[in-house]
Amino acid sequence: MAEAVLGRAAALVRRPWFETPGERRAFLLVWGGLTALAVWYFFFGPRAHYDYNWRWWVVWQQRRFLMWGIGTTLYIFVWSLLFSLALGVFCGIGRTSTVRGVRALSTGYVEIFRNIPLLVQMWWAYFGLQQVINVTLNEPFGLRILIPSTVACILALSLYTGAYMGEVIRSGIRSIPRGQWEAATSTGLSRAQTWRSVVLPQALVIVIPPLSSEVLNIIKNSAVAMTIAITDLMFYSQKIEEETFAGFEAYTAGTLLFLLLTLLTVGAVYLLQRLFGLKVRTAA
Amino acid sequence: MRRLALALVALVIVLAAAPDVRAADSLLDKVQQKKEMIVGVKYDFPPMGSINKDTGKPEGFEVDLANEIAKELGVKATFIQALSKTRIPLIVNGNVDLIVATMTHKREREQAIDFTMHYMITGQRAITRKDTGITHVSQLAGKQVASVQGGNAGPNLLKVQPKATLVQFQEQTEALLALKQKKVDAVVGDDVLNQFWVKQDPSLVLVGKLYTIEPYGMGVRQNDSKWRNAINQALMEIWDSGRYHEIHFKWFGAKPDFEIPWYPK
Amino acid sequence: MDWKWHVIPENAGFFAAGFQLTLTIFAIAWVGCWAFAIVFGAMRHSSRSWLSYPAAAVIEIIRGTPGLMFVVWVYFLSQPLIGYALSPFWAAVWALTIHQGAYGAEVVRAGLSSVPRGQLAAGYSTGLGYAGVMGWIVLPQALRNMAPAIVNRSVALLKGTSLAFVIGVIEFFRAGTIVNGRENASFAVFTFLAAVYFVCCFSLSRLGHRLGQRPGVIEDTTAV
Repeated sequence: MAEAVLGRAAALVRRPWFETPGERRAFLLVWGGLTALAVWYFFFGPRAHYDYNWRWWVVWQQRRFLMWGIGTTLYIFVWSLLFSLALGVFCGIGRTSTVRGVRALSTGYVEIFRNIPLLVQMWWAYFGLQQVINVTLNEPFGLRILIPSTVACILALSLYTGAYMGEVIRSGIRSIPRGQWEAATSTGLSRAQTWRSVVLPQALVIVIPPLSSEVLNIIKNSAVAMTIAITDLMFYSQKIEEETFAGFEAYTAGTLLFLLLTLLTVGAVYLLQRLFGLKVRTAA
Repeated sequence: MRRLALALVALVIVLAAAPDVRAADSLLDKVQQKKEMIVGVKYDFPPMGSINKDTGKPEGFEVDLANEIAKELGVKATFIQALSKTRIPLIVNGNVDLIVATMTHKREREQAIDFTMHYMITGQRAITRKDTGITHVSQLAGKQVASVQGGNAGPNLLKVQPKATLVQFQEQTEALLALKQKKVDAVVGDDVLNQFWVKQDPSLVLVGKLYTIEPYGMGVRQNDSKWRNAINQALMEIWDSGRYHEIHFKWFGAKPDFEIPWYPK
Repeated sequence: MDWKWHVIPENAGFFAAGFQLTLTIFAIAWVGCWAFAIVFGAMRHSSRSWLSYPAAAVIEIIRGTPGLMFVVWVYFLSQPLIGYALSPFWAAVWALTIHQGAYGAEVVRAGLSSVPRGQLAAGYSTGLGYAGVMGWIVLPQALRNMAPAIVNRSVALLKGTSLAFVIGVIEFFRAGTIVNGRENASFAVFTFLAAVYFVCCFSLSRLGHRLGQRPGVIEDTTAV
């Protein structure tokens, strides 16, 4: 596999970059001009008078914070992934159901949770739901059911992503030709068996690209959890900033780590496809 | 292609001829020129800075103090919100000219900004619900305590009670909400706010004594003595004329029990 | 059981001011977002690799960053990066513009690729110049194909305006949290916020649904 990647990279470099001499001129003009502009701006223009002492080494000193942050983010990611996949499958099946009630319920779920910002959903799950529980259960019965912030976060993130996954899976299910259904029934498979052995496996494989971008969205959306006191990567980037006053370095480190997590997930999806002997489909 | 080249050349010429946007030598000159001072205050911290329910405008002890300083300087004060975590970046980045946002003067903060003289001295304490029965900081071991990220209330508590678990929110109001919803057993913060909350809500009670001393200083840009001196002198004028005491009485119902580090002309 | 619904009408003016700011941020960011998207989408679609590879790099990096992180990044780091300090409002607008613009660029690219190449050739062969081919043949078809995806992106932008609350912009969500902090009526306030956001986003997405009932349509399933 390594040779394939390297081979493609080499071909990229070797292949002629420009089709016409005019194109080469255009390239030099555009990118040369932009570079000159950037150089001027940073060294001679308005930006030059601002002295910012770059302190990248402080981020390395505080790396344990970033490690803890990644740990929490991964924890939230795994649980939300499981729940949202499950929700997505049920929702996708529900939306193609012939029973009107089931279809209406799934459609309602998808529409509601796709049209409310995740931030609002998380705060509702953490504060709003808590008040509901306080008023209906805790106070009358003297209980002490508390919703920890991680539970609220995973709940909100799963419901939110599950709605999107439901839509994606639904489109995958709909792309399975009717002929497969009829063939399955004619060989004596029940509805449940057809779903499990014929339709779902094909549907899920077809929608791996958009599904994997939803998976990536889980990681990115989990940054919002910082607002309900969850100590994830975003929280710790801020913490480094407040400890060291090296804002640029801290947030750039956080951003790069998020990018790294997304890259690792893309790589994992690629490996899983190879592992199962599937034709590799790249994400949108 | 030629058009593109000409356009780029024109752009470069225009930018090169643009006036140099150099930072003013002192904020004092810039403020007096624009007749406007941008002040960062808290919006979630009554009675120091909060949003009035009916007018939607900021009000509070610090807001009044900032307005008085603006009057001394002969300018108008415009307010924007400062959160605990944005206080210092707002000054460093030049978004505001002055920060009056319950900011404790700490030696490590002097790396990034400069402080004016102290305009108030308070301390930090924990606050809890009556039903938790917590009366001393030592009882917070193993309990969930809420604080605000960016403020020093959380770290200070850990110095006094290392076994408490910190739950850090982005704003003071969320910490209080978590306390009222019984998600946390205590909230730590500056005492001015604690006293306000206890007065407002009789089900809340203060825990023990103050465990830190917090002198509040106003934040200004680093290495701008002219501006800092102007603010200090304005503060002293306000103290001398008795306006400070009036404002303090208005918001705290009592005369101040400290003296600002005043010095003669 | 006191659900404290009265808190909503009592603070209606404050909520309205926040909502107005949300709409302002949305309007300005929408324009900027699609300007950015058109430029970068066209670059990405270009067959010239010296345009498409840098554009792809920029788009992928921005898409791989969480929206919240981008908002905070732009706000705190405008000064070191460009020497000019942005106010929270403008930092939020720029952050949303660029972040959603990167997603929009993908939509634009997909739209441009959805027009069959043969149409371009046919257009040239009838004597139209580049502008004519783009204006009369490619863009109308591309826009029609992209319409539902554009609407999806706009819904995501509207939801994204709530992220501005982290840096202190008093838009609709923050107005809700401020009121809630005062009144301790979490259920009422957040249900109200959810309902208003739902009504706005749902109406917008209904529009997209209506526009999407045709073949050749691009489904934009990537979320905020």
